[in-house]
Amino acid sequence: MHVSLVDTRTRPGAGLLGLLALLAMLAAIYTALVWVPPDADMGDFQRIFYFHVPSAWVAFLSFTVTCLGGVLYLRTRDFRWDILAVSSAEVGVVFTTLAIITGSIWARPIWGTWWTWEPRLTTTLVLWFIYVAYLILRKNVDDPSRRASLAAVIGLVGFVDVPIVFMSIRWWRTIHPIVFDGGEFRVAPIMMVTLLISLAAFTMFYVYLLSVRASLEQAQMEVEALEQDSWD
Amino acid sequence: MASLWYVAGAYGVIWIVLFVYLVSIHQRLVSLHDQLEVARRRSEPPARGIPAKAAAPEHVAS
Repeated sequence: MHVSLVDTRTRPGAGLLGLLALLAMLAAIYTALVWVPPDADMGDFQRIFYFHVPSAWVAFLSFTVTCLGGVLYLRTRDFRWDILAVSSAEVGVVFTTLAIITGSIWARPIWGTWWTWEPRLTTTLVLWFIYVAYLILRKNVDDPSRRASLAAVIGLVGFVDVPIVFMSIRWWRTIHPIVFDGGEFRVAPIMMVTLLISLAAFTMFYVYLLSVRASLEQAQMEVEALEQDSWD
Repeated sequence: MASLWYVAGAYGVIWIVLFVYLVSIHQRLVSLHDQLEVARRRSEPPARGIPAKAAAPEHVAS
C-alpha cells in the first residue's frame, strides 16, 4: 500500500475553505431565520425546512461520492478513491442523522408525531442503517485491500436506496411534502432564494468536512502502513 | 412562541452535531499524528553512530 501524506493535520487551503463555509452558513442562518418571512400556513415551523432539505441534499451527495469512489477504487485499486469513499460516507451518515432529527422536530407540531412509518422516513432510516453498517464493516476488517473492496461493494449496493428515498414520495402514498415535482419547485420565489443559499452553504460545508475527514483517513492509512512495515 | 422553541431546537441540534463532529475529527487527527511519529521512528533503521565510510569495508570505501 502506498499512501503519501502531504500534511497529517490538514490539507492546503482547508482553513480558507472552512472560513468560507462558516461565513456561508452564517449567511444561510440569517436568511432562514430573519430575512425570509414565515410561511402563511405553517408559520415559523417552516423555517426548519431551510436546514432540513440541505441536510438531506448533502446526505445524497455524500453517498453518491461514496458510490463513485467505490467504483473508481474497484477499477483502479488506488487507495485515494477509498479514502474519498469512506470520508464521504461518514459525513453522509452525519447529515442523514441531521435530516432525520430536524425532520422529526418539524413533524411533531405539523403532523402531531415525532415519527411515523411512512415511505420517505422509512427509506431514509434504511439508508442511515446501510451506511452505518458500511462504517462498522470497515472497522472490523484489518486487511486494507479487502476492506476497501468490501466497502466499495457495500457503498455501491447501498446507493440503490438513494433514488428510492428521493422517489418514495412520488411512488407511494405519503404525507411528506413534495418540494420539487414535475421539474419545478413548489415554493415561493423568496423561499426558493433562501433554500438555494442554504443549499450552497451546506455544500461548501460538506466539501470542507470531506477535506478534513480525508486528511484523517490518509493519516490512518499511513500509520497502518508504517506499523505493517515495522512488523515485517 | 412554541414554534420558536422547535426552530431553535432544530438549529441547535444541527450546530451541536456539526461542532462535535468537527472536534472529534480534530481529536482523532491529533492522536493519529502522535501515532504517526511513533510509527515513523519505529520504521527507521537504528542509528549506529559510526560514519558510513568508516564502517564500510576497505574495498567499498574507496
